[in-house]
Amino acid sequence: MQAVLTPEQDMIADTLQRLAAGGPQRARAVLNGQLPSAGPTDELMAGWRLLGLPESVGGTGDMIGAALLAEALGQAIEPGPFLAHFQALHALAGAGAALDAIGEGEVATLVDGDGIGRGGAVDWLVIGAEDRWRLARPAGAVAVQSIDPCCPLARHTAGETVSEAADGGQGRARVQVLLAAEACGVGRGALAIAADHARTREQFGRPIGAYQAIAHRLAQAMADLEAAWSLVLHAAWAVDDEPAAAGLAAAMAKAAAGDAAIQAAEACIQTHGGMGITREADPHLYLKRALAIDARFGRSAALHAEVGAARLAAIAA
Amino acid sequence: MNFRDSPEQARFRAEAAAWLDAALAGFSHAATGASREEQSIAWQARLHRDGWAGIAWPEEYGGRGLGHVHDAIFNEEAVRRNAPMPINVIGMNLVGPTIMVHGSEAQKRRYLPRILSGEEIWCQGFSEPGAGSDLAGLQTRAVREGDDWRVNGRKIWTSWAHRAHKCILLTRTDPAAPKHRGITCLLADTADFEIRPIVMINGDSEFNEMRIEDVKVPDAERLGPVDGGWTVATTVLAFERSGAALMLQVMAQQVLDRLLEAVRDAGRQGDPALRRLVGKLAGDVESLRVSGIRIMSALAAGREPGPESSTVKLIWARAIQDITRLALREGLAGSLDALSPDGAWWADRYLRARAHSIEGGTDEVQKSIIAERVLALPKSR
Repeated sequence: MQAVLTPEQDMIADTLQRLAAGGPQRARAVLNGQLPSAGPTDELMAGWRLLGLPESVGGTGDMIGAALLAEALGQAIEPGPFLAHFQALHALAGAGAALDAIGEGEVATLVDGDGIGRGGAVDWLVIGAEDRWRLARPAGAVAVQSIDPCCPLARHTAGETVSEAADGGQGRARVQVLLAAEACGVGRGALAIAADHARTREQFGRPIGAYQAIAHRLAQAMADLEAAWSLVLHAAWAVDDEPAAAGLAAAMAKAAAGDAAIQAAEACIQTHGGMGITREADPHLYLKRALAIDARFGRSAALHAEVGAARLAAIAA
Repeated sequence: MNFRDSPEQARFRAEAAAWLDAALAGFSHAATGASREEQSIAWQARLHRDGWAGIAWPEEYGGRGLGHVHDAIFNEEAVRRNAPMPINVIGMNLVGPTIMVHGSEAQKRRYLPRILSGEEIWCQGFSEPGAGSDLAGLQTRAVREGDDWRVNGRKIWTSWAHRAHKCILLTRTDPAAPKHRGITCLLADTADFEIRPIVMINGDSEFNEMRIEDVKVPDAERLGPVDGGWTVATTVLAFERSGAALMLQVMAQQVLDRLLEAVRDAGRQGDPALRRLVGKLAGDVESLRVSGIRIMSALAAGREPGPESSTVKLIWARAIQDITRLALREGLAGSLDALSPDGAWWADRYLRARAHSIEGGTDEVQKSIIAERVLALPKSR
């Protein structure tokens, strides 16, 4: 047991947090129908797309590094398309499929069984349905409304299928780890702006963060977020080092992370008081992102039930 | 980051497991009350005889000279097998490590080996009737008289006091100073304390109240500087919070396992609401296991214990309270007005679990620690 981040992993986290800076401003620009400033997408596509992928497909083989990337982008509520691309690569590679068809610079996106995935220009669809992953060319898309207006979604129609692979659970586990890590980041980001506000906003002559009714709500949210983050790190580790345990570990992580992120974002809104319920302030961006992540590839409530059923089945003998 | 035992750790775990299986053959798990305490005394002696007491302590003080992770591995395997709590758990986990930090060489040689052997059982004289969460407000008075301190006051919630020979005692030595700066730590004999057991809501009496009237403690048995006792207390509390991480999770795992069995025995594995609740609790308990490993690994890597143990304490208390409440309120423990043996076990665990969010720092204290040290919010008091 040596469950501390390696120096390389610490460096990945630091670098990506710097790279993702300004995410909330870009998310706000999208919300306002403006073209956001460039953001980190090009640099992520060029330098980070292989992070955490299996070494057999040219990746770094460090899923914890990939989770740190997703967490950093989540914390900045980065609105760009990179994470959907990154999740798509992990889904395919987890299922043992080759990634050769996807050229450098081409954008893939992850699509669920209903055809729902990120909108915008894409070169490839990676479609997950019935425990299989399918790589296909897109053949049309209709915009659909997401609860998170900063990450536009579409209902995609698939064209020619280029390859297909049975999952075996590892593709789904990778996608869930990445979504759970992103959710933890969103929760952290929400608590960071909530704590900033609680330190500076004064009522009754004191910063509101000095009142335990305010402080303890945020502390509880932080405790649940830390618990979820432990599950994310363990699930990421299991993907690389204990694949048989990765499915259950990833389900637990995503269930806990979804709950914790939503709790943190709701607490953030409450802490902001009246401004928290407006579109003029940022807290709603975190809540909507948390809800959108929770809805993808296993809602928290369904995953809790899945974990419960698995644990009950394991003692049934 | 690695959650798996290294080959050396795995060998140690196997060695510990084999020893525990053999040593536990003669111990009954069902013991209660006084017979449970006799077991704890016998278990301490057994651990010491075979070299399993003080795994992470230096060899020169009678320990095994291994690391925190080894200590945690042994505790995990012991609790998993329902091994008795060694009687000197406070001596080994809190007092000994604190003496290693703050004690003189003479004190180390005098006290440490006797902690491991169980010759001297320790208790912790911190809380008072008027000083619980606000520990630094303690009023037990120690006045210097020649080479001695004369002590008067009351202490409460003292685990094992009725069995203890020695007490790590916080006293007020300068009532005029700001409250954190007038405290001195003494290593007192309990022989002249008046000790009264407190009966808890589940019928156990593991805590005590102590009256201390004109008890003399030699100045040679002072730990740390005069009026410098708060630093010593902080060390004790840090060991208390971090040392328990892996043991706590196994306790939670045991209660969760009982819950899974109860759902199965009631034939309710297919109940969707129960599945969801059980799954959520299984996640909480798993997070405790993983966080415990992370905390131990950070300590082993030489990092200071930080606020993450407050997180674990909060999640732990809630998980056991939720699990035991679920069993009682879903009828998984049978009727509450005609208790079966299983029902009595759940009722006992449920009532005991009410203490989890109070003992060792209340939920409110833990949240204030997280608010101040993690979220950097202003102090609320």
